[in-house]
Amino acid sequence: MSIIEINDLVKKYKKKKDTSNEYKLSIKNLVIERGKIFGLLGPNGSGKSTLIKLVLDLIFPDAGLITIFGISNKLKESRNFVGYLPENFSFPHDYSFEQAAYYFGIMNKYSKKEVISELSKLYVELELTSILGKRVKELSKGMIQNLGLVNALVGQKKLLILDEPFNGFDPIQKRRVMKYLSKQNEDNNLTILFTSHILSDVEVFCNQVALIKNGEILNVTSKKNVFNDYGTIENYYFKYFDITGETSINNNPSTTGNHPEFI
Amino acid sequence: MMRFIIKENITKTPLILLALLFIFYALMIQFFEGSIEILISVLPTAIILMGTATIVQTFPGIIKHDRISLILSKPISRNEFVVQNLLGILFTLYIYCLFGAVILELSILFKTGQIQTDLFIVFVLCPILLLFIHMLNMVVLLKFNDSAFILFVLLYVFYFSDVLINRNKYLQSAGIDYPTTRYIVSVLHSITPQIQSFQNMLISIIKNHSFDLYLLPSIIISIIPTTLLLFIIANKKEF
Repeated sequence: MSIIEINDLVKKYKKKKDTSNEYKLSIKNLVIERGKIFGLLGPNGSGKSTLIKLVLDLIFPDAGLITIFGISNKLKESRNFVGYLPENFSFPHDYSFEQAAYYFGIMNKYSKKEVISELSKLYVELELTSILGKRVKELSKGMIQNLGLVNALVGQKKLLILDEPFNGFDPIQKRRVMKYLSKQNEDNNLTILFTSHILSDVEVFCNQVALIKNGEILNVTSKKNVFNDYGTIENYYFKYFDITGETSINNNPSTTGNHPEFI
Repeated sequence: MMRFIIKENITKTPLILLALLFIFYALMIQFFEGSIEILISVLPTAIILMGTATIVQTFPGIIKHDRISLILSKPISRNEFVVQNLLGILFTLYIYCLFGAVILELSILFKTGQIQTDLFIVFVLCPILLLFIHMLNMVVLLKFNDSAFILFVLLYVFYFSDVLINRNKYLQSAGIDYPTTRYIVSVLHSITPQIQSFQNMLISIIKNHSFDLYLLPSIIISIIPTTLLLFIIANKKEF
């Protein structure tokens, strides 16, 4: 069963810091199946965040159709079971951690009781009890990222859309979060679409990978296929993006791949 | 979401400090002549200042601080977002106005021994008028700027320009006959907070015990285009 389906999507856009050039995102067809952890990889400005915003109807396409759970993303019902962690966000600075989580949690149209009980479980499972009571302005980048993640998770979500989710986490919390999300994926068939620049995170976390470059999807494949064909995610990535060859396998002692392209 | 807007606005207002200030003023007022009139001038201005700050910080505040994507990724439609914001702001303004009405009633009660029930009608109308007149400015200004501070300053530049032009006898006698000046004055007058009208209503009720609903048509006229404009902008804007 497909959770997200994108057909003939076209979006022309300008970047905030580069208003002179026009960029184009064009996706003929992209399907994300239920239960997948789908990693979207690509260099800066390749259109990852734009694609996510298009899926959530935060920005509008020039052409094409996007459905979530079979419902057009234009309808609010399509977001009933979607959790979103943006790359940049903020919560009101005067709120405590749990106040912010609560006020944004009830926007999911769940009862006060349900939200509070779900939040209590999340605090324990993600080991956040020690930062409860702290004001948002006192929180570190990693703690705010935790708050963003809690906000995305609360409300019995079936699809998580995470834009650079592991930014700011220390290695222990990153491992904890990955473990929690993987468990949710296995136990509850939670589908996750996420973007990341950190190839090792993608290698550990996802089970399907898509490469995006200049607004076009270059390749979609399973992690298993990547390992069979390229040895590592890193090799796979550099196969498509390393134009100069400076960082290819021969110059990179950490990689172990043996694809003919790099020998 | 409405609860979030109300909490966000109320927590940012030093209500306790204001309450103490006005209670002190209400007690002091008994000893001075013309003191009720001074309070009538001060109170609406204070409410309008706080109201402007509330309105101005709500929409651009949410957009500027990257909260909008967190909110719109929930099962909330953009029209719902606008309606809940408006209701949230309106509710906040009512809290301020109710607070102001109680202070004024207390002062009049201390001074004259009577209660002016008509006053509450003015305070019922005030937030609606204030909200929609300000929102009209906001919608226009938001097209060019998303800083809450600059919006706040701009609104008051408009207000004081209006006051200066309308109260300046030389300008009125010399310039008001020119169509351009007249046009500028009428535009400024229509887009600025109607502090003077609000104060006049209060004075008229207190002195003459009469209540004129002349503001109602302007409220209705401002509600319809403002709300429509907000819906259109909210549905077209990309975040």
